[in-house]
Amino acid sequence: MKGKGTYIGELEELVLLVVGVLNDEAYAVAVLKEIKDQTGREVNISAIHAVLNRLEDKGWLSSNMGGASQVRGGRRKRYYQLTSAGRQMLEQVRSLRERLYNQLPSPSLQFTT
Amino acid sequence: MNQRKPPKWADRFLAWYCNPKLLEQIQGDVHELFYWRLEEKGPEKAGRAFVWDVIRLFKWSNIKRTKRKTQKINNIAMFKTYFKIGLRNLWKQRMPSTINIIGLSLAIGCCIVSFKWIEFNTVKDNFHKRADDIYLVTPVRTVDGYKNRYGKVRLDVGDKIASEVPGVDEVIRLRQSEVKIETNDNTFENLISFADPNFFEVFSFPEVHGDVGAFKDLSAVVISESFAETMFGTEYPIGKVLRITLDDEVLNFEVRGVFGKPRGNSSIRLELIVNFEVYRRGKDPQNNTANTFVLLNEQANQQTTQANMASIVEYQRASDERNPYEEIKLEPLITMASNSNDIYGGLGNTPPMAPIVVLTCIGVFMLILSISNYVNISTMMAMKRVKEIGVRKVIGGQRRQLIMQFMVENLILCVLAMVIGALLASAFFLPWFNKISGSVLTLDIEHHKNLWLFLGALLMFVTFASGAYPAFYISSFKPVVIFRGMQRSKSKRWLTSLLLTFQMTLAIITIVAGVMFVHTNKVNESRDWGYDQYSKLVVRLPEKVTYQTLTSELEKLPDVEGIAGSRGFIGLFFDRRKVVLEEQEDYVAIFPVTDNYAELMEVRLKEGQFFDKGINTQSKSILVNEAFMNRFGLSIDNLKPVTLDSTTYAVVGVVEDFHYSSFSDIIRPALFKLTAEDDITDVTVKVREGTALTMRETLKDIMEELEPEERAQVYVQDAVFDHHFEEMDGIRNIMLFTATLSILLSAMGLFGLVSINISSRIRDFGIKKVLGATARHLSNDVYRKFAVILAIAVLVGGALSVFIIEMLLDSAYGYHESIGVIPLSLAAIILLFIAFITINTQIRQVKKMNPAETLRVE
Repeated sequence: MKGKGTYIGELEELVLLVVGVLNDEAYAVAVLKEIKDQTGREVNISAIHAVLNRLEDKGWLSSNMGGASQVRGGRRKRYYQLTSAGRQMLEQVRSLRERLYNQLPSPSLQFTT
Repeated sequence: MNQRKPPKWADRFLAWYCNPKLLEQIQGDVHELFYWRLEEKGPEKAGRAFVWDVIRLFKWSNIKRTKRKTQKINNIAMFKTYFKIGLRNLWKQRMPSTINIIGLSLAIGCCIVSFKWIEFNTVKDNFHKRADDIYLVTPVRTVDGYKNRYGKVRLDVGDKIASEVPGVDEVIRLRQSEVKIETNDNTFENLISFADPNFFEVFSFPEVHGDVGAFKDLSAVVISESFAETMFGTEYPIGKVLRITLDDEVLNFEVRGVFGKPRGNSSIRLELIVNFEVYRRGKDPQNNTANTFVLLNEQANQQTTQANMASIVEYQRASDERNPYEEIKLEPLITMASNSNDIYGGLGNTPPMAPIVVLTCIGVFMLILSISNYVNISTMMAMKRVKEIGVRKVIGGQRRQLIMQFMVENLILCVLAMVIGALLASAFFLPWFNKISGSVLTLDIEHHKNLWLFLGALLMFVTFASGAYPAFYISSFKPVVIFRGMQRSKSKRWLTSLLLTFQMTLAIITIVAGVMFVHTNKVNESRDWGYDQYSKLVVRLPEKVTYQTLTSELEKLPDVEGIAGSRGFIGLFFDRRKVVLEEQEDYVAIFPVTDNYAELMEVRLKEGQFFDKGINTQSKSILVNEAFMNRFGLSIDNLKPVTLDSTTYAVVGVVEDFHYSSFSDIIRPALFKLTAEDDITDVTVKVREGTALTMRETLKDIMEELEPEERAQVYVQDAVFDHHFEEMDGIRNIMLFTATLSILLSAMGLFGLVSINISSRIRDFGIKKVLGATARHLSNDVYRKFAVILAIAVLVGGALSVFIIEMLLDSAYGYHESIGVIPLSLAAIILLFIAFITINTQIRQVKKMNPAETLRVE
C-alpha cells in the first residue's frame, strides 16, 4: 500500500462495507439509512456524498444513474457498486484487522490460570 | 403519503448554487430524506433537517461548475483552430473588419501620442539608478507670514550636512547660470552647471567619450553630447579648449569628458559641467546658496534624516537671525519637478495641467468612439454567424469555449490595430504633433518600458471593452432558438442605438469645438488691438547704450517719424505691481514710459489728456486704462489718488482698453507712468508706412555698430503676438484634427451598421423590389431607422457642447463670442450631411441591385 490515496478512513470503510452489503440498491440515502439502522449513527447526507465521491475517485466504487421514483420528484439516483479493487481493499483491511486481533493477548486466559 | 413539501426557498437555493451536473442526484436524495423524516419525525423536524442538509451541502465541490477530471480535455490545440477561424472570419468579413481596424488604430494612435506627451511632462528623474535615495534639501522659512520652502541652501550649511548628518552618504551642490563661452571659431551664450565632482556617482548619465568624472580637476569641463555637436560639429571634442567668462574673468577649460542623453526625462538640464569649487572660490559661503542634493544610505529614510537635520537648523538659526530656517525638509528627486511650484528656486517644472486634461480627453474620446463602433459592428457581424454558433453548441461546444473563440478573434484584430496604430503614431501623428506643440517626442519602442506597459494595458483594455459584450451576448443564444430562426429579437437593439447616439453626440461636440476655434482664431487675427500696431519697431537697449545716444542716431534717419522710450513695452514685456487706492488694492500692469509713448503708440484717449510734452519725469501723473477705472470704480469726475510703491500719483487721463498681453488674457487694469531716461530699456520707433521691414535691418545695423558685443534685438510691434497666434493655431489644428477624426470614426460606424443592416435584410429588399417598391420607398426604410438617432444626437450634442465648449473657450481665449445658433447648426449640417452621404452609398447598392440575385441565394 503506497501513497496517501490508498489509505482508508473509518467512515470510508463503513460506507464501503455498506455499499457492498446493499449490493444493487446502494445509493446515498440508502447508505445513510443502512448506517443508521445498523450502527445507530446518524451521518449527514453531505458527508455521505463526500465519502462516496472520494471512494469513487480512489477507484473502489463505480456508479451509474437510474431508478427515478415518485418520492424523489422523478429524479434519478446515483447507484454505487463495489469494484474488484474495492472488494480487495475490504479483504485487505479485514485480514489486517484479524491478524492484529489474533495477536491480542487473551485476558480470560490470564484470569483463569 | 403526506402532501407537505420541503421548504421551497431552501430547495430553490439548492437548485441555484448546485452544479447542474450533480443537482439531480443531490436534490433527489434530500427530497427522499425529507419525506422519510416527515413520516418518522413530523413536518417541523423534517423541514428543519432539510434546511440543514441544504446548508451542509453548500460546499465548493458541489458548487463548482467544472467537470470531473475525466472530462477535462486538452484545450491548447483549440487555440490553433480559433486562430485559424479568426483569420478566416476577418478575411471573409473584410469590410466591417477593416472599419474596425482603421477605427481602432486611429484611436490607438491618438492615445499613444497623448501618452507620450503626458509621460514626458509628468514622469521625470526616475531613470537614475539610485533615484529613490536622492533628495533635494529644502529649508522652510517664514516670509511675510507665509511658510515658504526654498530649493537652495547656504554653502556652509551644505558642508555641515555632509559632515554631521548621519545617513547622508553624499552631498551634491548644483548651481546654474548663463555664461559666455568661446571657442576658436564660435561664441555662445549658454547654460553652465557648477557641480560637486561626485555628481556622476549619484546621478546616472551615460558616459560617451573621455572621463565624465574628470571635472574634479578645476581646469576641466565635461559637456553633453548635444552641446558637443553644436560646439564642435563632428570633430572629436576631447582635448578642445573652451574660454568661459565667469565674473568678468576669462578662464580656459579643457573638455575632458562627454556624457550622453539619459535614458529618461531629466528635469536637471545639463550642458557644461564645471567643478563647484570654481563657483565657490573667493565667495563667502554664508552669503551664497546652491541647490543641494543628498544621497541617503540604505539605513536612512526621509523621515529619520529630516529629524536628524535638527542640529543643522540650530546651526543656521544661530548664524542668520534675519532669515532663520524653521525646519529642513527633504524633497524626493522623483517628485521634485511636480512639486516645483511650492519650492522657490527649485529645479524642474510643474507639468502643465490644461493640455494634459485636453489630451487625455481626446484620447479617451477617440477610444470610446472606436470601441462603440467595434461593439456595434462586431455584434452585428456575429449575428450573421449564429448558425455557426448553433452548430458548435449542438456538437458540444461549451459557452466558455465560444466566448474564448470570439475573444481570440477579437485579440487578433486588436493586435493588428495596435501595430497599425503605433505605425500611424510614429509616422504621422507624432511628427505632426511635435510640429504644432514644439516638442521633440519620438517613439522609441525598444527601450521604453513604460510605453510597453501602456501598450499592453491598452491592448487588454481594448480587447475586453470591445470584445466582451459581443462574445457574451452571442454565445448566450440557445441552439433551439437559433435554428428556429427566432434570435432576431429586437430587445438588444437598444444598446446599438444607444452607442450610435452617443457617438454622434460626441461628434457634434467636437465639430462645434472645431468650428468655434476656427472662428475665434479668425476673429482674433483681425481684432482691434486697441492701438495702432503697424509701422512700429522696438529696440531693446543694451546696457552700454543710452537712450540719448540711440535717439540722436535715429533722428538722422529720414524714415523715422517718432521715437519714444519705455521700460518694457506693450505686447511682450511688462511688470505687474501692487496698486493701492484707498481701501482697495490689486496688481496692475505698469508701463514706465516717456511722455510721448502713449501718443506714439496711438493708444486712444477716452477722457482727460495725455502727458504734457516736456513734463518733468518726476511728476506724479499717470494714464490709466478703462479696465483700471472699472476695477477701482472710478469715473473722470471722481478721481482719487493712486498709491504705487508708496508714492502717490494723480490720474490725468483715461485711455481705451488695449491688448498689452496675448489674447488668451482678458484686459486687466494697466497704467502708464513717467520714467527717467536712465531707466529706459526699450525704444519704440515709429517709421514711415511700408518701411518697417527695411528699417528693421537698418536698426539692427545701427545697433551692431553701437554695441558690437551683443546681438541686436529689434522687435516688430505688429508681430509681438505671432507666437501666441502660432500657439492658438496649434490648438485650433488639434481641435480640427479631433473633429475630423471623430466625424470619420462615427461615419465609419454608421457605414458599418447601415451596410450590415442592409445586407441582413437584403432579401426583404429584394421581395419589396419585386413587388414594385420604388427606390425612395426602400431608402425611407433605411433612413427612418437612423433619423431618430441623429435627431437625438444633434439635440443632446448641441446642448452639451454649449456647456463644454464654452468652458474650453473660456480657458483658451480672453475674449470670444458665445456659441450661437450658427456654429451649432453648422455642426449639425456637417454631421447630417456626412451621415446622409454615408447612408446613401449603401442605399445606392440596394437601388442598383437585381432582386433576382438576392432571392436566388441558397
